Amino acid sequence: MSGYRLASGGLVDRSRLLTFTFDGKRYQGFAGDTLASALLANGVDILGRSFKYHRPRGLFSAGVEEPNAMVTLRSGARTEPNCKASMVELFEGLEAKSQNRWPSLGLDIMAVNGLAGPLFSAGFYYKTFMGPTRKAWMLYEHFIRKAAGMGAGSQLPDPDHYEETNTFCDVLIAGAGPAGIMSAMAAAQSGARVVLADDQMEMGGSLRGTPLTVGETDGDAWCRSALAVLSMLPNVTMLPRNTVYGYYDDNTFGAVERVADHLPVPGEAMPRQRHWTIRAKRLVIAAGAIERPLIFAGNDKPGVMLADAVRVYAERYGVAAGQRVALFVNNDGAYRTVEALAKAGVTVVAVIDPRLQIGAQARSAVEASGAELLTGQVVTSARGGRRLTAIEVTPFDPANGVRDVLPRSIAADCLAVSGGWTPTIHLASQASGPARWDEDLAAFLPGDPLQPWQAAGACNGAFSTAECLAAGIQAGAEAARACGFTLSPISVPAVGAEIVCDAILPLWDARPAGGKGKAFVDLQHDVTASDVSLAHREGFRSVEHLKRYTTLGMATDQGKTSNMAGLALMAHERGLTIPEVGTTRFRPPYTPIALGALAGQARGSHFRPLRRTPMHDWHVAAGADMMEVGLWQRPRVYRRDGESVEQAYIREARQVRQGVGIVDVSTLGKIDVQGPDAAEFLNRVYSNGFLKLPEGKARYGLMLREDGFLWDDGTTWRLAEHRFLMTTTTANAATVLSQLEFLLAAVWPELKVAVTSVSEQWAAMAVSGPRTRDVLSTVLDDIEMSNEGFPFMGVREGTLDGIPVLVARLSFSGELAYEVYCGAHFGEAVWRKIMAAGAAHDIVAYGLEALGTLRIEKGHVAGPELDGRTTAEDLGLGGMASRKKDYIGSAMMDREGLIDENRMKLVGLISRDGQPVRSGSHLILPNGESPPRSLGHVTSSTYSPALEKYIALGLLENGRERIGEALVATYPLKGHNVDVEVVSSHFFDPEGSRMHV
Amino acid sequence: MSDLLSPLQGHNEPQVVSPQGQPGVVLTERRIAGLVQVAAWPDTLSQVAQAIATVTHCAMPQRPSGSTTREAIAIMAVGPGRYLIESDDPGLATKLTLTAAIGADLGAVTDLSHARSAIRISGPKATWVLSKGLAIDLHPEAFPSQDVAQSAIHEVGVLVRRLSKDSFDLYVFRGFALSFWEWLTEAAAETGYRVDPPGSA
Repeated sequence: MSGYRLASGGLVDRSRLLTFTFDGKRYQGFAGDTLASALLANGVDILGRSFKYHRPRGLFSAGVEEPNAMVTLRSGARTEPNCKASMVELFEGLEAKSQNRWPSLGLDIMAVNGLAGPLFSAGFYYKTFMGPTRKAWMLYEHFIRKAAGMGAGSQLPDPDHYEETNTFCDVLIAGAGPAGIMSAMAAAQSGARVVLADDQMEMGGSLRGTPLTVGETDGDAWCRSALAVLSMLPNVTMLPRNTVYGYYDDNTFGAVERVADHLPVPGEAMPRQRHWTIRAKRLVIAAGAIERPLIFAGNDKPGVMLADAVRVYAERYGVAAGQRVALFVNNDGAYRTVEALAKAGVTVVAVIDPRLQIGAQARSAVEASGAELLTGQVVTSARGGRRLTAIEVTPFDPANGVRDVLPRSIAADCLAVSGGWTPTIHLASQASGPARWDEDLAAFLPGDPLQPWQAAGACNGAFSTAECLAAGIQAGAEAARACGFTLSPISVPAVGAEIVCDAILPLWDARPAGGKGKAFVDLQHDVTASDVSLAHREGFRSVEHLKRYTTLGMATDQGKTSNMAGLALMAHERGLTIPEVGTTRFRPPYTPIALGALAGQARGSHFRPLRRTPMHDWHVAAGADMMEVGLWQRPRVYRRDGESVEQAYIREARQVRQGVGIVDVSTLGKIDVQGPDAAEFLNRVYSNGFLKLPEGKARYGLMLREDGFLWDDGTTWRLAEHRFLMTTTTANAATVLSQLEFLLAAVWPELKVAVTSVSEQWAAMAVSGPRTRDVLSTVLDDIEMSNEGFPFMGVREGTLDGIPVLVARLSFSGELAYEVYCGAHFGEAVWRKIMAAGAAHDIVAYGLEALGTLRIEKGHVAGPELDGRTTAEDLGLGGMASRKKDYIGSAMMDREGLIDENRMKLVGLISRDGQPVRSGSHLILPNGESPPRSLGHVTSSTYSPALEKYIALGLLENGRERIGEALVATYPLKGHNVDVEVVSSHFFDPEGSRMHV
Repeated sequence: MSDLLSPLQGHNEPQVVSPQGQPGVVLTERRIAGLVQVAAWPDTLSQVAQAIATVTHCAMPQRPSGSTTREAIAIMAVGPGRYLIESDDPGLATKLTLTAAIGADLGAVTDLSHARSAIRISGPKATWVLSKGLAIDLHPEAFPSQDVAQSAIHEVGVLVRRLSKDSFDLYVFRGFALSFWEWLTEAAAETGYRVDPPGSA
């Protein structure tokens, strides 16, 4: 119990008490608290157990960099693990649990790992468990991952919803601290469209809660009024609680807004989070900097915190981090914390600084606080069990390091550490050359931009408020100017005397030679300084290898507090400078993102759009089993009571052959082809001739790819001299259109042809069966239906009970058949009228299964045969590949491999033992070699009511010469073998006598 | 014309879904009587523009992605030499009008009256709701009234026409209309919406 709420101070609303629970225990905090500040105020020391050694860990920071205080929020389906307590806004009833402890935070059985410490060094698991066999790892992995790991998800469906949105602006500013606010001011006054985003609940950054004088007032009041001004401007969009996490091409940014995370449950119709895609002409990065810790034994004890976080908890939340606070710092900036604590009446016992000289302001801050100033000394060890109790202080000099003398012990329950600041260059690094090393700051600064951005403020190495304000104005003005806006001068507000992060003495390692105790580099992943040395000894010298071997800088914080120290230690091991060793690059996201935010509305029924035909509702009402075909919803079978799918399609197909049936073919691709050169154009894209197709006639055409393989098929109808209606397969509707558009735009721009998708304009249905003419002649008003008057492949325009229709006499089923096309909005009406007229003839609506059965019986090819590997000749359509003209694919179709005699050819297969033949089965010789060689495969299969046998189409090596052979169709995955006989693919009515009646 | 069936039939009855006060948008299915695409050949651009203007008595859009209106006629420039023409005359393409004026020597006339569904979204939150799916800049200076844009929302191709600062017509492929409508109402739920009777806009 060390932290406590100060009697006054902070930005929290002390009149609004909020109750919350942590590990089931009730606590109280104030509105404006984070979970972290509220727990600190309640004296809760241990917030979690560490990843590998299960050491007790307390709060370490006050921001996104938090490596320790990871909690699981809420419960049930809304359980969210790995939330940083320092980023969780407190709300009434908040429920939080600590992670990675069993059975409780206080007593963690796995802490024995800490005693076995040396065993669990870098690479331990891999060396130990992966060594013997892969199999052993498979066994151990589960247990290892269970013992380590972060929090666990609930496995329940997420009850919240997420949204995406898009926005556009001239200048995006990432970060609303002093630099970001001034950037926004400067850019906005020029008239530029500005988006200002900040990841905190309230904007202001380092100005929030600061007593530092800015302009006429204190920094906190100044930033509130500046933000109020900005929010009134129509050309400024303010996005608080919004993290710009990724920098993508063409200045596109990903950002996630936490819309409702600060509420117990999102409001009605309120998304929990919203993903923003922001497209900005310029980016100003004003992302600030993150303080870094120092390395000494026990530097992970609860009570050791970043110095600036200790200041923030006092100034912003009115919370003291401890009752006896010591500081261990290597730069002047950290003395702001001394100042703030003294002002708040918190006891500062000592300030330990390895430097011999410190700034005058820093010195007077210590003097005013009454703390002991120990320059030229370092903290070599932090002691305590569940909480820091004392620190050991040892003299140090920069030339010789830590001196080998007996340390002095100082009692303290909080140690505020500062090893300097690491500029937040994550966004910049995603769109820049290598980061630049700054020797004075001992930090990497943004590299040269590869996209239009500029950095301002602390992320660019300007660590004082005054510098940040000035840099912000300059960056905002430059960004607006680059967008073409003219600027009027804007003045920099005056800033009172401030202690600046200056005169840093890089101190990467405060361990005495031979010192004992774990000194952590990466708190979240439990990587110690010795692990880095070990990695070096084992040959992992590049920073990339170091990261992967030790896991330093991985995990949810991505090394925000640890990367620099890791680099420095490796540089030391190798005898190089830090810039010589180099840094790893930052990839998006800057902070973890919920997958829900990336999915947005694309979940459940909106996972992808559904496409419905004009007769969709009729099919559903008729009880059809609907199936997805691409995006389309199509009827599979119209099952009657008690029927299986197979029984249903057999009934439907039989009824078509015996009477009449109707099927929805609206999904076919339909392309309007018009123009004086339309016939010439079609003649070039189809392998068969189209120049002489008469008006009022349809022709079946084949399209090849440029490489000579078969691509698509369909009928094209000549409606007028210069006007055609092309149909394509359902699957290729869009790609055929774009290929035609490409050919017209790029290959034959001289052809006067326009192509337009009319797939959605026409509802289409095929009516088939010997009674079709009887049915259609009763509903068609003005079309002569006799065999002679309306011959096979004829196309007629007319009306059906007053509705305009196009009718084409085409047959996919092999029966007397017509396709009826009408305006899509009339689709259901026409369908109903045909059904009504067919009632007397027992008309049946049939689905995709029966459609397949009928075409397989006829040996007509479809998608499974047009698989991109077959030629026209393979499928028995060689006669349609003209030798008298050039067309797409003709130049390449006679390549050696494409005319090889042994190529797989389309054949029919009949099951000899009454078993169905699975599509995808391989065709092998009976009693042949073992393992058998595949001679081909089954492409489509069905039960044939016409033959009363299971039949299939297949592709078989030299298949047409094998008619009559007995083979086996084998499906090894299911251990399924069927004896089949190879036959012609024209199973039923090969003469086509039934179509021409 | 009871034989005509909208793909939104049964899904777009008037209602108000607005948890917090005034609905932010009004959604209305528009009934398209006639929608025709006209494509000119590269050497007949001005003749075709003249022919359309003569038949419709409506001025032609003077720039790419522009549109013009006269009474129930709207002419939208959707590509070089390509116009989409909406009219309350279902026979705009079929009855000798545009087809007669524009023969194969001038260009191509394609009837798309049944191929699209049109939804109007109006109200103070219209741009906010649209931005959830539409990756185009809807700032009035970037996308002024009468401009059209072809883009996609929820993977559905959409033609957007801005009528005023807070009012847009969305033309989507008929087969996607219901799926699109469901997406749109979900996106509009946050700010609340009202559905007006089909054909009332």
